[in-house]
Amino acid sequence: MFDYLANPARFQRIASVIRPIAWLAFIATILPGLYYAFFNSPADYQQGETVRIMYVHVPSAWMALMAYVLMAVMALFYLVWKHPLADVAARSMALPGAGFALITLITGSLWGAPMWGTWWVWDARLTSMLILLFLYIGYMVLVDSFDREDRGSKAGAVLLLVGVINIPIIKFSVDWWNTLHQGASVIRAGGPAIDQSMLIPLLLMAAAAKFWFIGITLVRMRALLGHRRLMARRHQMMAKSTTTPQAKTAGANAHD
Amino acid sequence: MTLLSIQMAVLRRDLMLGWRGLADTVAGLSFFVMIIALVPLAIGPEQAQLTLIAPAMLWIAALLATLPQMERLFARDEAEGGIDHLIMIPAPLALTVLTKAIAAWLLIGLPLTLTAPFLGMMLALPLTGMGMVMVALGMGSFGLLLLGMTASSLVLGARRSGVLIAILVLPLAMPILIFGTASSVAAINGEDASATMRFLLAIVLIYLAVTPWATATSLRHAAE
Repeated sequence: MFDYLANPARFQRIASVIRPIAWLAFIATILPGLYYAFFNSPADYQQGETVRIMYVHVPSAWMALMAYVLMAVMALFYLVWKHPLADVAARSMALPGAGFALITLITGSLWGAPMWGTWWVWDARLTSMLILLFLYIGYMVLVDSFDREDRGSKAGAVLLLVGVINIPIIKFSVDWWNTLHQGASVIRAGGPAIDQSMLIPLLLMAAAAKFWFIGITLVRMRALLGHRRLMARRHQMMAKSTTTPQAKTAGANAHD
Repeated sequence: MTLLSIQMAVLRRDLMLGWRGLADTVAGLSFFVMIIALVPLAIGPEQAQLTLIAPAMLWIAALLATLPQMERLFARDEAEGGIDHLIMIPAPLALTVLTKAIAAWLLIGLPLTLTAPFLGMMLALPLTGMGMVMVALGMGSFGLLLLGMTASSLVLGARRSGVLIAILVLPLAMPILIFGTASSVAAINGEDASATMRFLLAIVLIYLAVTPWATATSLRHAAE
């Protein structure tokens, strides 16, 4: 399976089939999801209408974490089995993943403003998400810091693996730190006590986020593969154009 | 040569280089002291207030003062072509990395730990519990340097390295900061710090199990 997908051209053919399906599935889930989230779900008896932020906040938080774990799986494939597309996939997922983390933080802050009376509270989940965003930023800066692209890919892959081992430790530390310093947080969404009328839009929006992520990752992979082909072609042409004049000069010298 | 004598040779070489370039250690230590000196200047000289935030400031200062030192953990080896030598040594590379981490701790972490009580006094900390703070700082700085070894090996050959190491290490180092500070606060308040110390130890042990392999892998990539 993985060997089968290792050929970029074959991968592109399969991806070009999956891409429209992912976009269609995204539209098919986001439209009813938004409808339920805005018009066909109850306001919370405590939080009022602001509870609707949950339908963006919680799927984004799930997605941010999932994307990082997926990137780490890709890093493993890249380092252990040297799968060339795994690196392209990991790089392509980084920016959308970081975007989801940022959306989680912004919506969390917007949600917190009426609930906590302030824009930012050092709540355990928000703090963990902030650190996850830092991990994303570190990865993106690192892979972009090398003149040799493969060196950046390998360094990034090692960082992802170290990072993914660290995520549970960070989560545990931050939870522990938070219980030490303050009581339970207001945000309890996603807990087992959620009512079905809220669960339907939440799951629809979560599915929409996943389909969008699949679609955008495949688009970004196509762009990155295209970019690499372009660079390789340019490299070839430059190599050709630098050898030709030299050959001429050498020929002229020989003539003299 | 046995494995042990090889590692001793690596340790001796790094310590010797550290001794010859003692100015680096002194500079790092001065940075540590200067960060602490900024605190009273910024928040005012009231003793009670200083005592309250002193443990946290000690840890943050230790973290910040270690960061700029991480850049040179492998930089000298790289400049002199020593990375290839490290790989060619007939010993597991992860073990050699660990030896270098111990040397780095002796040159960076230990001086920092030994300076901490004096800085604690400057921040009006009582001396009770300072022993525990030093043990915690010793462990914590070793954990930090383990992460620093990995980060410093990852950025070999990168266009930027100083800032890059900082943004790679800081998020990963937050558990050390959390449990280090918590154990120090407990120790200074005369409470039982053993639980938080064990968490700190556990985290450092996890890093000990993970980072030498990551660093070794990364060094091999850098040498390709």
